[in-house]
Amino acid sequence: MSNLKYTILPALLWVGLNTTSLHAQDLKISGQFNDVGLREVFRDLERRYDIRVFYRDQWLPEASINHQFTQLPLDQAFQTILENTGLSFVLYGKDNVIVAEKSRIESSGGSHYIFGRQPTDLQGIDTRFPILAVGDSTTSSVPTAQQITLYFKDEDEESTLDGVIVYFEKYERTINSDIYGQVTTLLPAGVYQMEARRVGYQPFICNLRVYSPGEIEIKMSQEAIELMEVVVSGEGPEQRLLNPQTGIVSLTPKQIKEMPSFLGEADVIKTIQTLPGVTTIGEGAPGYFVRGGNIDQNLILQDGVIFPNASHALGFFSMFNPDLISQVQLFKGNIPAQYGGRLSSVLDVRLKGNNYTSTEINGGVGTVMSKLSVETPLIKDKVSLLAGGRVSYADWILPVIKIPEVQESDAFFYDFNVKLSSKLSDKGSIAIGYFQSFDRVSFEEEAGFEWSNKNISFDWTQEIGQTIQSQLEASKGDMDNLNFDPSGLSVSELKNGLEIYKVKENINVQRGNHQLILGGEWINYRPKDETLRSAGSQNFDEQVSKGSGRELGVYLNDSWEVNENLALSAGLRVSIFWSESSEDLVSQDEQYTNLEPRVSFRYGISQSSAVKISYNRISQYLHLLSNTTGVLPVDQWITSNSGIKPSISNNFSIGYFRNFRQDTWESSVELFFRRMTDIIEFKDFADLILNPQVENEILQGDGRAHGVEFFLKRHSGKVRGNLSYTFSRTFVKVPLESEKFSSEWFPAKFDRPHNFNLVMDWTINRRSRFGLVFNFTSGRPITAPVSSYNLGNIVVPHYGNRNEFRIPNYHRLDLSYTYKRNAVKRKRYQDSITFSLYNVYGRRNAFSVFFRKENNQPAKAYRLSVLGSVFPSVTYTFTFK
Amino acid sequence: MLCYGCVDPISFETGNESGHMVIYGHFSQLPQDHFIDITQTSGFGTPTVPVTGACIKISDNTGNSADYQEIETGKYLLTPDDLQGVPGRSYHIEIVLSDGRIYLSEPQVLPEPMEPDEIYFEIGSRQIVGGTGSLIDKTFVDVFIDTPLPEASEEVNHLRWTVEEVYSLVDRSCGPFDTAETCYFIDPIDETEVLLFENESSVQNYVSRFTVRTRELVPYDEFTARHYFLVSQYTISDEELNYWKKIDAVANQSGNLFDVQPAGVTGNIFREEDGQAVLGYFGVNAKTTVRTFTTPFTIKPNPVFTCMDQSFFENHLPECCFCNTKEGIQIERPDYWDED
Repeated sequence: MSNLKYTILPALLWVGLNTTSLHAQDLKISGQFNDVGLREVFRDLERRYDIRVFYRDQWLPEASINHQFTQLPLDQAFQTILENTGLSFVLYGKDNVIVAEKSRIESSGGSHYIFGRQPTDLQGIDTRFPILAVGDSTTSSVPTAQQITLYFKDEDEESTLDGVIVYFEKYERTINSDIYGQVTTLLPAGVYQMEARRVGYQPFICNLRVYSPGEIEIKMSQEAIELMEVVVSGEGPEQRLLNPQTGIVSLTPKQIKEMPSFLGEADVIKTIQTLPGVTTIGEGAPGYFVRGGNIDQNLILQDGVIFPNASHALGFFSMFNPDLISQVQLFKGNIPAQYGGRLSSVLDVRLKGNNYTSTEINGGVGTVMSKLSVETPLIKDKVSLLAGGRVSYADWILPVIKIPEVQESDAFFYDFNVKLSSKLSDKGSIAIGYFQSFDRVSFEEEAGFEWSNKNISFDWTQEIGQTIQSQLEASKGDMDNLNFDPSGLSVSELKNGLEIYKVKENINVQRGNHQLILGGEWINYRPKDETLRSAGSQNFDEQVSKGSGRELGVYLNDSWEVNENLALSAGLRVSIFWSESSEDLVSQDEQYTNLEPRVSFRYGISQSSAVKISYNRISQYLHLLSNTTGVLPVDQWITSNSGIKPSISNNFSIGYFRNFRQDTWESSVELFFRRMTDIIEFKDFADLILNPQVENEILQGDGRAHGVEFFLKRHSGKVRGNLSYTFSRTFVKVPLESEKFSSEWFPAKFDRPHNFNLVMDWTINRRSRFGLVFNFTSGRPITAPVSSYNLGNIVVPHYGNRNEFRIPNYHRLDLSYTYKRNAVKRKRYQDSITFSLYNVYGRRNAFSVFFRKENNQPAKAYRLSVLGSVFPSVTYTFTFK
Repeated sequence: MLCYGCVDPISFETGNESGHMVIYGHFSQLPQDHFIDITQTSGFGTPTVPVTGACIKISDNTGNSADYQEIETGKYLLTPDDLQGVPGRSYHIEIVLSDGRIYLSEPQVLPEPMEPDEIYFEIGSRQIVGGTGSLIDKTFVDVFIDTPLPEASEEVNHLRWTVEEVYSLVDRSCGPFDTAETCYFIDPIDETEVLLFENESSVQNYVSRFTVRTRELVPYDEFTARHYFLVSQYTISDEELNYWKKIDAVANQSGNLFDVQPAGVTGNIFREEDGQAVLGYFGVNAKTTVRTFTTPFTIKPNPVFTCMDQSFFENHLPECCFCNTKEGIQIERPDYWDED
């Protein structure tokens, strides 16, 4: 444990008040150290005994020590070890030893207390908790308010921790850390009991001694036994209660990794699909639907780069490598003003990359893919490297699928990330990231798809003064899609793609109880030419250039903690969009401007319950053209223009949130209602490929969605997990030709009224845990035949109204068992093996129902089950620190 | 049993809408009989109901016209003596039902025919997955067609094919007074595949090795003598191409994520009263027919014929003794049987 757990900048002082717990007093240790440095001594003791040693590297002398002792009490052993080093120590808690320069400890209040002299301002404080000092202790304390800034980080992963609830008992004030893990507040000089809580982390309670303005970095420990992590995502119970925003979900990498999953591979998007309000077409279909929004209404970001298609292998996996993820946030209710451009949700994935002190290697071998990643400082405390990749080898699995076309098919993908981060100073850092992925799926000799991404990102984060943080992001996303037909008469390659250039400046200002976020975002959407090339041809046989578009968004948002009960968040985003038509398209240049207000507030009814209401209006200028059952990799993206208006959504939600039994249980009921205009639908049999007049194939109309989400979650105990139920409906109204242009409301293809999820995690012991996921979802709507007729020898089904019928309900049970060889968290090499069963009772869930006539038989209904059997898998993962 | 990507029939309740009018037929330049079928739907999976008593008139743009005659309920015939199609002229039909409702088709120009260069077949074995999941060798015959396309012109036409199979069965003498007989059968191929070629003149000017028929050589007895593949090639317009593409989409759904959203498909026939389109299509096409045939000598490996390999004393299948008892559509000996 070479790093100090709690780092105080610029003045750091550690004081232990409860100097010797019973545990520490009772502990007797032995050691034999010959010519070894103190760092090695501490590591050795940490490995052999259940203690933790806190220190800063710069305090440790270079000289080696020579000591031998047998069965010495812990405090005597450390007195021996630190002899003639200029260092001293204090014990606190049951197993912590704090080592610091002797002068620091002796000048600290806590140290005086140890020797019987307690400063007057420390009288009456709870001595069970350590003291953290902020500011310069040599300056005379003044009673005026001092601005202090707290930075919260994960102690192991070095990632910033948002959503930490910080509570100052004296002032009964609660503040949330922002996405940078930062909390800024004003406190007069003095001592305050501070409590910080976050789901999945040990509560951190201390006495914060404020001398003068300053900063402090606090590294929070994850649960002492890792296997006791909460399985399912979600914000901390307090945060969900106190955050004025509705519908926000935060996930940690561990929460994602511990979900039972298909083929044992942890996956971000599969995890969020267990949350209320999130559904999907089914296995083998990319994307997801949030609160009645189509797939293209979800903004997916990785380190600020927009991912139009984040799916590997037609949706079986996502492109996000869970070993590299620092934090995932899903906004499905009120989308803050700093985000825009999609109507339904924002999935913001942030990668690690700020580990400047230690090396960590993660890897794994699974049923269909292997992965390896490393996070290491290149220049200690200055430059950090994060790199990781995954590669699939699914070829062996396809022959077990009893369809000749599939047996002769092929599926392959890889992805890798590289991120270089550098500290410019204590207040600034830059990061450059690169992501590349490639997918190939082929179906026998008929056809196949390839799609790839090459993304580059730049991030410059700088603190300006004590209360302002600036973040400049620049990125380029480059996606290429290919549909190839390798045989037959029409041997050809159909290509398209999309480039997205983006620059965003985001400024975060903390002023007392106000958190102000303002900034601007410029995005250039450049759909690539759609081209068709036949076999052997050097030139394109057909080429349709697509229009492009530029979107400018400027925004301002203020989150205001009015008082203990009332919190308000209000913002406005102004979006302006300019379309540029191409010579091939019939549409004209057009400009659109939209005002997008975002408002939400929370009223605390009691300490454990609150009501939240939110409203926001969002515009969308980029649309996906897809009229097939599932989204295809080669589906095109097109920008708004004179023929395609921007889609607009007005989103309302209201929720009641209540925690029980000291926040052990968390519950909520959220109602949402959405009204959308100019959403995209398609004419019957729309011809979307190589069509310069593709606007003529699009129907724009109204959409409406409403629903209620029930959520219950248990945060602690041996058995944890959550249970959710959503009832929702989504309807569309466009003038369809097949329905005589009647413009009646009809269900959207993702209208699935009932959605029930149960996620459970049972910690059997320190090494073993058992996971369970059960999902029930109403069958999705389909268009089905209502009669049939003959055209010569061909029997033709005559289809009725669009989405009038439903395929059978979907339900599935997944189980997993994880065994960890080493349950002691501080061991450098940790590994685990996970056995998973996906679709335990082998239900043949219908991906689709279709109607066909086979030979001389009458036409009848058939069901396609993508995974109609139980699917076992084994995954071995390891971490080396 | 493993089920990954498997397809199985299920019980699925759909609505049963009856009474949708279906009008289907085509007219060509060939001096042959032309038919129009008029029916009404009666639900999903149930036969349509013929509509009798309709008066159908076909007219061209030069003032010629002729009436169809109802030869059986819901089936109407136009003979070459009544009217013969001329490329370049436009044709449309007018239908008056017995209840007075009037239906019209839009005028369509009869295009110039495109003559195929060659029709040929290849026989070979390939592996398919059997019921137990193991691979089994099966013998198939593939029939191909080569057709030159006209040089780029203002009027771009496309191609559609239909295939019929005609074969003979020779039974054996199963008794002292039984003589061997030969029966002829036609199989209009009860499949849903729509064979289309979209002619984009800028891309290619020749249709090469277009597979118009693939079938397994089962039962072998159908190949004991000549086995004909009769291919009709229709030159169709843009509008008709789009119609057949939609029919192909709804008739051949596979359930995977590539299926387009299905919908009802209406054609080029409208009710005069309100312009509402009905189901079906009246095609005005240039039509050509070609044929090829296999013989027992062209089939490798040598087929095993059920009837011929039975010994005299075995219990014979009825159709081995009396070929006219075999299920199927029996026809007279075609004229071309002697010509080829």
